[in-house]
Formats: sequence, C-alpha cells, structure tokens
Amino acid sequence: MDQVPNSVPARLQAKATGNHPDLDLLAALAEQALPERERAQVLLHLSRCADCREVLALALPPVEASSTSLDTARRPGFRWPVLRWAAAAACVVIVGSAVLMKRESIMSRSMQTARIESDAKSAASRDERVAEPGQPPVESVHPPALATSGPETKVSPPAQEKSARQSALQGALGPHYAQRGATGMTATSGPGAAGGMGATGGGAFRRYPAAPAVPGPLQGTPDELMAKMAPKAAGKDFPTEGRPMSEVTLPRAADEQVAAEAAAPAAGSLQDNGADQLKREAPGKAKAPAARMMLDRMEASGNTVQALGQNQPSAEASRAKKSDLFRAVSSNLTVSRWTISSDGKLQHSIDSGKTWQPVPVAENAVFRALSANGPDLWVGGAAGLLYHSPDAGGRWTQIKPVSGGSTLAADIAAIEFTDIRQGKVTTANGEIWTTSDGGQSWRKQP
Amino acid sequence: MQSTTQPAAEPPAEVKAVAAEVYGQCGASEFGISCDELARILAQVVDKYSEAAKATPTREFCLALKLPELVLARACAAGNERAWEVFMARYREKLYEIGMQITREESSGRELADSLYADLYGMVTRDGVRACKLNFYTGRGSIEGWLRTVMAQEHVNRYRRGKRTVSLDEEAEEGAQFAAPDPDPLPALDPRLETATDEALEALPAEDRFVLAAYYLDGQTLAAIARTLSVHESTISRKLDKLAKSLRKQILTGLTRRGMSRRQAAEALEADVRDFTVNLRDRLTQDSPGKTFPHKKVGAPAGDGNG
Repeated sequence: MDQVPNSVPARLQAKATGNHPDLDLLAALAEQALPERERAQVLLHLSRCADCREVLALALPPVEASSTSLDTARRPGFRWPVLRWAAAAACVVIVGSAVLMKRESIMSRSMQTARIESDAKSAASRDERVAEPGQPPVESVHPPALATSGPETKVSPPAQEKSARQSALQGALGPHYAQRGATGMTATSGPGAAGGMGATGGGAFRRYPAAPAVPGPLQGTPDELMAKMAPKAAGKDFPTEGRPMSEVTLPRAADEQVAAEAAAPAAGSLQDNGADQLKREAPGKAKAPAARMMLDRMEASGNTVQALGQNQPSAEASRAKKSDLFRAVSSNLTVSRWTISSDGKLQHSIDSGKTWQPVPVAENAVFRALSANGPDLWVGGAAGLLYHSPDAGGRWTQIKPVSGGSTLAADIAAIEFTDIRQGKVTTANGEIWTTSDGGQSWRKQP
Repeated sequence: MQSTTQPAAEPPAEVKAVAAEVYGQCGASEFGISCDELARILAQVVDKYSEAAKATPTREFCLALKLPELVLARACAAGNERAWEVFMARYREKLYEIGMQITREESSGRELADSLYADLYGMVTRDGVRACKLNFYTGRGSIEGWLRTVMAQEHVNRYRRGKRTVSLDEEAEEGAQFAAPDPDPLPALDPRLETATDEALEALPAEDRFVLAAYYLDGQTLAAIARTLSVHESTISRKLDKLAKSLRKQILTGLTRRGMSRRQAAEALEADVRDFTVNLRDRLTQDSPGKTFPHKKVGAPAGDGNG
C-alpha cells in the first residue's frame, strides 16, 4: 500500500477544536445511527481528536458481539460468506438435477429394452405353444420355404388367435406365417396358387431357406410402422382371397437363405415336394441404416412395441410381442411387399402383408416369378413374358432378352436381382439368362 | 446533577404530539412516567442536539431515538424500582462483559463495571443531590453502546491518572535525575509544504481524514477502522491507497503553485519528519485527558455533561 507523504501525519495532528462529542453520539456513531450530516461532524472531530478516537476504539464491541444497531444502511448487503454458501448450494442443486435427469433417461431406455426383450421371449414361447404341428397343405401348395430356425422366427400362431398381439407379430414376421394358421395352409403358400404353380412346373419355384423372422426392410416412418403393427382388429385373418403364395419377404441379403428356418415347428408340417421349390422374392431390399435409424427413432420417441400390447392381459405377453417386433425391426423388416397371387397377378402390400392391392402390369398377363429391389420390380411369366418397373409399379416396360441371336421364350420360373443392375432369369427348361446392366443387355449362359 | 428530571420549560407542541404518539409504545407508563414527563424528556434531548434537530424535522428526530431505552434510563435515574429491576436484569452481566473486553482482564473489568454501576445507580452525590449518569443518556444510540463508551472513557481516564502518578522511588530507580537535557527542537516543516498539506487535508471528506488519522496516527489496524465505519476491511485498504496517491499529487501541485520546482517539491515530500511527528504526538498527549474527559465539562451544552 502506498504511503502518504511524510508531511501528512504531521499536519493531521492538529488540535481538536470545538466541543467533544457526547458519549451518546460516539455510541450512535459506532452503531451507525447518526444522520449523514451529524456523522460527518463527529468524524471531523474524531479526525482531529486522538482521545475521542481512543475512546471510540475501546468502546467498539467485539465482532461477534456487535449490536444489532450496527445493521444499518451502511452495512454492505453483499456478504461473501452468504454468497459462498449460496454458490455451493446452487452447484449442488445443478449437479443433482443433471444426475437425476440422466438417471431417468437411462432407466427409461433400459426399461424399454427390457420390455422389448421380455416380449420377444414370451412371444417365442407362445409361438411354440400355439404353432400347429402341421397343417395339411393346400393342393399343390408348397411348403413354406421360410421356416425359421431360430426362436425369433417361429411360425406364427393360427389365425384362431385373434389377439392384437398376434396380428402385429404376424405382420412383423410375414404374412405367410399368418396364413398357415388361418387357413390351414402352409405358412408360405397361398390357397391353391402355389400348388398350381408347383404342379405345372416342378421347378417353377425354388425354395429358399427360411429367412430370419422379418421378411424385409421397413418402409415408412416409425409412427406409421407402429400404427400398422398395432392391432387393428383382434383376430382378423389375413385375406384369403388372393392370398399370396409367394409372399415371402426376405431380407436383402437373404436371397440365398430363404427363410427355411422361418418356422421350425411349421417346417415339419409343410410338404416339400422335393424338386418343387418356392421361390421367394424379397419384397424389398432392406435399408439397414434406415431401419436402424427408424428403430432408434422409435425407441427414442417411446413408440416401441408397447402399442402391440394394448390388449394384452399379461405383461409378459406384451413384453414378448414387443421383443418380437423389436427383432423384426432390427432385421430390416419392410412394410412394403410384393407378391404374385394365385392367379398370376402382381400384388402389393404396404402393411406387411395384411392387405394386398393388385398392381396392373399388362392386360391378361399371368406371372409366376417376381423380383423386387425397392421400387425396382421384375415380373416374369409364361413364354418369356418379362416386365420391368423402376418405380414400384408406376410404369412397366416389357423386356425381351436377346442373346446371341436367341430370344428368351421359355416359361420364366425365377427372377433374381441382387441389385437394380445385376440379375438372373431362370426358365422352366433350365435356361439361365443374366444381365449386368439392369436388363439393357442379356447373356444366355450355356 | 439531579436524580430526577427537572421540570423544564413547557415542551413545544410538536414534541408533545410526538410524546402522545409514542407514549403507548415506549413503555413509559410501566415505569411511572407520564406523557407530560415524556414530552419534557424529549424536549431536553431536542434542545441538547439543537443543531441536529434543526436539520431534521422534530418528529423524525424524536422517532429516531431509542425511546424505550431512553424511558428506561430516565426511569432508573428517577429511582423507579421497577425500572432498576429491568435494567439490572438486562445490563448487569453486560457491564461485566464490557469491562472485561475493555480492560482485557477479568478483575480489572469487574472493578470497572462495579465502579460504573455505582455511578449509574447514583451513589455519588454532588451538592446533596444524587448524581446519576443515566441522566446523560439521550437515546441517540443504544444503552449498551452508551455503556461501552462510558466505560471506555472511564478506563482511559483511570489509565492516564495512573500514568501521571509516578513514584519518586521509581523515578530514582529509572535514573530520572540523570536525564539528559532536551534535545534541540527539530526544524519545522517548510511553510509551503505545511500550507500545501493543510490545503490537501482540508479538502478531504471527514471520513477520509478520520481514516488517515486512525491509521497513521493511532496505528489502528485496517480491521478496527473498518469496524468503526461498518465497511469491509478491503474498503479501508483501497481508500488508504487512493488517498496516498491523491494527497501526493495535490501536495505536489500545491508546492509547484507556490514557486517550487517539480524536483524541489518531490524532495520536500520525501523529507523525513518522523521525529517531528513523534514530538507532536507527545505534546498532544500531555494536553489531555484533563480537558477531554473531565469531571469538568469541556464546552458541553448547559445543564448536561458527560459526567
């Protein structure tokens, strides 16, 4: 601290003039009870009178024994100890709130996950109970090639179970599962259609191994998905009319692993004609990132399979259903599906096979083979009838593969497109035609 | 000194109105003080602090007084037993505490408190009239604060009286008879420096002067000064720093205005006047306490004194 010039203390020691202040005034000054003008006068005297300063200094009470009259306007309202404790209390409140919010978020997520998983388990156990050992296949109906091998791909319960949970599960796993229970047909075959096809062409359809539980990728917003998966009417059967015989929906990568494992219990009940193969086409390629994103959105927004359990009497069943749906979502289930009806007509479903709408392709055209990669569709029929639509059936173009001077004219038994460019057409007589440019050019394999 | 309040001139109407207004709240009736007596008490106080009362409306001035304590003190001075019961219950132990805080010693503190208690009770008579110090309490501050200042004053008086009283034997032992003659007085400050310094000090507010005096003359700590003014210690530190800078600047300006060069002014400021300062302090000490805390009054308003 800077020191005053040496002359200052000397001149400060001027003798006190005027009256000494009354002792009561000194006490009032110490207690800050004097008005400003009077206070200044007393201080002026004190600045010149060492004796009065000495008395005042002695008369001051100790800090802890200060009179309440010292709490006047001159006492600063800003108290560091109070502020210090207030700051500490504020920090505790803020940290505690953050911890509580974080914990609630974590608990909410874990509860949702637990519900989903338990729903899956109970749904799996339920499927085992209700899956009928075998239904006599419809004539020429091929066994479901999509029997699943894992618990997550159990055959759907029979249609007699009208619970909303089953409907949602069926929708998640694939319409073929529902069919089996509802109509007694195999899960993967429609009424009569497959049989007809199978009958006419032993190799008209190739069976694919069972797909995992979900037939294909989801399409639509999480809200739409949940709305569709939620039970609309308990016990509503899948439509029998035009029940697709090849409405297997496979994951994009599961072309080579058609859901033979899709329904293990049901597999035994399905007739397998050996050479008859039921070709199942994926209704749409799954977009894994999109599906995961939608799943995340569903979880985040709380739109989990909880909606499925609305009519569930038991929490366990609800959890099982939720778990199934969870797996369905996570396995790139798609809501949009394509199939060929028993009478050879192309059909489209946007609700995972609950309902189907006919898609006009060509008048009087009868198709038996189908390949779908998202909106890119290929349908094939007898005598080399081959159509392509790049926009999910909005417009169709007839394709006549030509290779080496020969034209594809045999009955098309199967169409396989791994993507919109790479494809293979197999005829009933064993011809294999391939293309690598989306059908612009073809090559007939020897 | 009177043991009871003297019948004084008729109180002004304003004071009577205030007395009537506060009579029921101050507990005067409990101690046998009538409304008229209360008005007279208030009139005495107003008269004593006439300058302060003039600057403030009378009603406001009276309402700012510690009326319940004023009534208690005057009732005690009048010999009201009920008032003394209340006073003793509240302040007897307080007196001992204050005494120990002032003297820093228990025995001295109790002795100091007992002597004051006797003065308060009016065991001292003057001219056949019981003198009671409580008559000098005016209610500007609390009774406790007033008791502190009274005891502090008494302690200082006792100390100075005892200091002046020296034993001849002790003086001989200390070798006072062999004391050296007084040295030559130190040269006074340059009158220009004195004038410039006085000018700078006069321009300061009273509070700043008090802080300078308490710190540089009395050697009080920053904390003690801060407690006196009810501010934070850091405030006093900053104030002193600021004052030092401003005083230096103003004195330099004053010196240069009086014909000194800048260098001369700076040299004059740095002149060592410590010895001079000490001498002045000694001279000032010898001037008191007889005049400051007398049994005689020093310029006190007529009719009242500090006891």
